[in-house]
Amino acid sequence: MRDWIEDNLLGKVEKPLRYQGNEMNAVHKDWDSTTLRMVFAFPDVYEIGMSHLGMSILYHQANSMEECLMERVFAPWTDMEGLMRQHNIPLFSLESYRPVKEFHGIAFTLQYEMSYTNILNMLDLAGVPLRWRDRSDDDPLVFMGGPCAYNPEPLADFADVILIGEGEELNIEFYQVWAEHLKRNGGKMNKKELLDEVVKIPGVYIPQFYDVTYDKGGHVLAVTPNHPDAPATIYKRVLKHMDNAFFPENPIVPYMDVIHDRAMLEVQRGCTRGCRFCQAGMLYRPVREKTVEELRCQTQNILSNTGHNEVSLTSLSTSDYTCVDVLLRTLIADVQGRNIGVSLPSLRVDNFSMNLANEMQKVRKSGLTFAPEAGTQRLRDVINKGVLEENLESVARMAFSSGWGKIKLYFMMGLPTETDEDLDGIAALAYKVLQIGDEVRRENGGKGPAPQVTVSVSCFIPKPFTPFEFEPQIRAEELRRRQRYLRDKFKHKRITFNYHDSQVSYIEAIFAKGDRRLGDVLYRAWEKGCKFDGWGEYFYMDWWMEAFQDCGLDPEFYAYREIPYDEILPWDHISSGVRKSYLIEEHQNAMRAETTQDCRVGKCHVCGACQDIDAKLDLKGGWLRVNTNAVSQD
Amino acid sequence: MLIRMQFRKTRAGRFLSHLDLMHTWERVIRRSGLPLGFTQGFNPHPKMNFASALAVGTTSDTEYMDLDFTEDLTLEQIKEALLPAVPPAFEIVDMKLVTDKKVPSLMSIIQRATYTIRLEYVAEVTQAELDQTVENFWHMEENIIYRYKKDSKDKKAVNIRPGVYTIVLNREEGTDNKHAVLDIIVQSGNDGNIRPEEVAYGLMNAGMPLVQQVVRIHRTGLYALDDDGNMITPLQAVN
Repeated sequence: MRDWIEDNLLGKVEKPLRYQGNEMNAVHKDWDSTTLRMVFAFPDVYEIGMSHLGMSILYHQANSMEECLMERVFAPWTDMEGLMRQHNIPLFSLESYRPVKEFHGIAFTLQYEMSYTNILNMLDLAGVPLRWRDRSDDDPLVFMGGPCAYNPEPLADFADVILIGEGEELNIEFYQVWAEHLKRNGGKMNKKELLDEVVKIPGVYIPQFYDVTYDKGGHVLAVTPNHPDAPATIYKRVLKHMDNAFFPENPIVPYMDVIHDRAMLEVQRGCTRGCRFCQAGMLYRPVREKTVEELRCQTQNILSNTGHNEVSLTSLSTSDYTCVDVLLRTLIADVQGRNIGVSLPSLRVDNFSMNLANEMQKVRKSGLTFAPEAGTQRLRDVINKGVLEENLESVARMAFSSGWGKIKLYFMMGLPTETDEDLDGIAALAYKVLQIGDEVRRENGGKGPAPQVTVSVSCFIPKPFTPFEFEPQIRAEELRRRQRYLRDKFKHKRITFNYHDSQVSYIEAIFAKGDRRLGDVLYRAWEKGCKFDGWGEYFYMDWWMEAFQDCGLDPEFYAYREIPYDEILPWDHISSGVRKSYLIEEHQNAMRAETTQDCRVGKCHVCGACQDIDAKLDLKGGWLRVNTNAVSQD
Repeated sequence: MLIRMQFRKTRAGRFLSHLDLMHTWERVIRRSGLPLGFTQGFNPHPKMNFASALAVGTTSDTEYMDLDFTEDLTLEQIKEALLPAVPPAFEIVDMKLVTDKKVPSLMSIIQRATYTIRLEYVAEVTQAELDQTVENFWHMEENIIYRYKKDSKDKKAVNIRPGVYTIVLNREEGTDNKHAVLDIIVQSGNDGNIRPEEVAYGLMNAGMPLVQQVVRIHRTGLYALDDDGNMITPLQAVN
């Protein structure tokens, strides 16, 4: 099959390397001698999936187990899909070019809601029935995980098993039970028996073991287990320590340029800054850091196994890593003279981060991005984004003085309590930064290109498991008015204004906070042809609206409704550790524009992450330094 | 010290663009731990030079690169370090130490390329038909094909006739009588480049039956010319 596809199809597609496989460090295990065979399915194109660290961790970890094999498959781009359908080629894995249908399990990662139609499309291309109800024991088991799996309800019709939380321990336990089951049954699956066994593993959520009832208005009345072993609440799984956690030191090296063409090193997991809009900040609590020694060792190994010329220190907020300055200095010294760069993907708006940025080797001083998120201090307090205007000004001055010419400012629009005054604040900040740039340039004698500012404004999407889950999204028409309002304020030729499509954000908001009934809408939208919804050119709002109409569901119910605190939410039976009572408290603080300090500074707010789940804040360098950032206002 | 190396671009590597190939080789050398030299300046790049870019989709037994190392090593040491670092896209065939400090660049010496091309015809063909078209081809004074510029409708007429030196066209026996194998020697390098598929178009200009698709293109040789005009490999071209 591989030869035929390579000779007859790959020459005709835009990027054949997406389907080629055979990269350095790809794992090819023997099919016949392996008990449990799985394929990791990333519901987007190769170059996006291959830039995703989570996939790399789970792929290499599964393949490190003797009885397991895991291959990869990505969503074929529309050109390849057309050829595959024309020639009746089923979805196949990159490693062995085997039909996905021949595997025991298909693992989908849920990174963003707008990839859900791709999941359906991939199952269809594989020839696997989309809904679990229609699948037999001979079909693969479909399991899912990832950040969007915390509210997996819109996918409840399609997934056999959802894994809640971090996979390093949970997935292993799941595979072990599964492999034992296969051994007992001579390599065959009896899904009913298998589900009866895996439901006992903490963190495993099996949607079909729960009945959901609704009232006349469509609100959830109750989510009731219908299986004796299904827990009433599924708590996320979390690693207690990041030290000695499995980390792939042999990651696959793509032949083609991918989004992140560099070695990725995870320095810590979690972030407790407590930004109230941020889902990742709530889901991945508590913060657990790795030691400098371990990171140093992993860096050496990854670089010598991949040959990358850059190592990126990734996490939700790397400049918060308590040993970041020691780590950076050590790594820069280690790679001295090898033409290797060390980079941080995200920087905070503070002087400390700027000092780090200046220390890094080979930093291309073309553009620097800062995320004040909101235009006024009042609104930044509402969202608990600890950035003061003075911080931004001094950092901008520092950046321009150190040679950066372009500054990008990232904001959200439609945040709770936002008024036109806050939009004015965005414009004022942008002009202020540009003015600082011009001043610095004048002080330096007017040399070099004139400074530029890019303002990028996305639409706020209230996400489940955050203090803003109770908030309605601002209506698309109103968002468009605000976009126009702001656009008219930027008439300067050195300020570029970008904004997101409010319609895509609307669909994303619906599915982020959706319930099980949306499974039919998703199916209908896919039938109409929806796929790659996150890629502007394939997003068709009309199809989505028709799908809602066909299913008799009101999309506004999901996105535009203010939710009372006592309402049962479709995802309330799943717990990220952070208690709903804490989210309510934080929501009330937000409405009073009161900030909450990062718990790494000293005071525990009892959010639940360290109380209801066996995990603790694990900082290697003592408490977070307060003086370097602007969080400490209370 | 300078090393000239011959490598294969395998079936697993056929879809790498020249840029992908260069990035991949840089990572191979970095994985091997060998002390590759870098250019000076603000944006240093590795001292690797290639003979000729190969079109996407084409395999080859005869790709060449010059590598400049900062330390003296034996060929054995280099081979040993490189082998485990090479991905399935490439295979190392041979290498030679270049002692001449003033050796001309690989790219500048290339004059000829040889290819094997597998063709699929729309309908069945006979060997006699194919022989006739080759003969017609040699009798043509000019043979015009069109080159299209990337992302543009502009086309340029090119006479390929003077750049084609040898053609062997044989029907593939024992199959569906719709496939043939075309072996060619053509002009390549800085003085002009004939692309392998252009010879197939040129043969159609000479009356060859309609081709359904070019199934596979494989580069079998890349040559310089010695003082007598004989084809020599880039490895033979260095002392």
